[in-house]
Amino acid sequence: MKCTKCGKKATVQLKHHNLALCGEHYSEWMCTQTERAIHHFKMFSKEDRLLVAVSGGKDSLSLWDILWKLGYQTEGLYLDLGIDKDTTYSKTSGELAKQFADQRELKLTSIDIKANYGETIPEMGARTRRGRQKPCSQCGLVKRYLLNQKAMEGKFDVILTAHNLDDEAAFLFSNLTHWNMPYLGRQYPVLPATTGFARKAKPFCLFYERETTAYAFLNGINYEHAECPYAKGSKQLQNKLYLNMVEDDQPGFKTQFYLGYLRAIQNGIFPQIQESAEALEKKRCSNCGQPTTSDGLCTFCRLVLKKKEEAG
Amino acid sequence: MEMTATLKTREKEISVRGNRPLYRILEDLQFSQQAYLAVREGILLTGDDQVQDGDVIELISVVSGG
Repeated sequence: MKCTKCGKKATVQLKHHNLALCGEHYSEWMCTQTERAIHHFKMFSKEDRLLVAVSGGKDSLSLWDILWKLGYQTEGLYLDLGIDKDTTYSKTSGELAKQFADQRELKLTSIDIKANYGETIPEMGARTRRGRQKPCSQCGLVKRYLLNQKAMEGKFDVILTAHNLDDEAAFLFSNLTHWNMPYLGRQYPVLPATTGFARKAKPFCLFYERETTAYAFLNGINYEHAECPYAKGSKQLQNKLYLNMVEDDQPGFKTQFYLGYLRAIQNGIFPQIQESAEALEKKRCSNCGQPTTSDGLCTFCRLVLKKKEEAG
Repeated sequence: MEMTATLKTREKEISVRGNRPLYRILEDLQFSQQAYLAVREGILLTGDDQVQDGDVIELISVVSGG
């Protein structure tokens, strides 16, 4: 198979784009497509300060690498979640994220959850009924809260996450099968800033997971290959498996599925439900001051302060 | 001794009949082509690349997320 652009041997075939590319042209294509998505969805500009959520995995490091090459103003935020479970998952991820940033002289802030809040994510989960087996919901809550808090404190214009099309399609598949309308209204690649919350964008939303991995490989990005030990058997992984089975038979299926959703949301089929600025202004967490839908403490402070109360 | 190609994932090594395109081998093993990248001697392979007996192919899982 030959590169569509130069005729050399292709290393990546993109059936759904009817393309095959050599390493050099593939990396170039990834940068061009990222820039195109940023412009198409009006995510941000070169003047904006961007906070990249860095996990040490292939997606976030590839995203940071491409934004750096494209000349965007980025800083990284790594959250040390303290997830080990007989592995060195968090430790290795943090080291790889630091190594990546150091090699490119990029600024990376690291927050150790245990050092700051007294518990790792699995320990927080163990205190709750639903998080005892898998602390995924506590993990998501802590990550969302701290990313936003650091973005607001640091006056960043946008928070970037490296969700790819497979992540989005699997999440969409789950939300559609449950007809989860509030979530269906909030899965657009860019979410505007609201009172107390920074703008969020997903510049990799049109790339397959295979494509971000190929980019990391071809560009010598050293990333954490191991999966989060709590992800094993998760519904999202199962949904990805189903969607990949269909994609093998029908190249382009995942893209059509996701692009169809984006057209639907643009046509107002799924309402983009958002609390009004007035409503958000009225309810503030009594501890941290962040807007919240509940009375008193926000969900994050309820989770974290409970431990402090128990410790006396 | 019968010659085979070797496919290595993080979890296991699989011996397979070589001298055929990669995509045929993945199909026989019921491995999704979407879920792996295949690497031979540091070079990424496309599905139509021939895998020869004696080759060692590393399969990198691309699927992540919880």
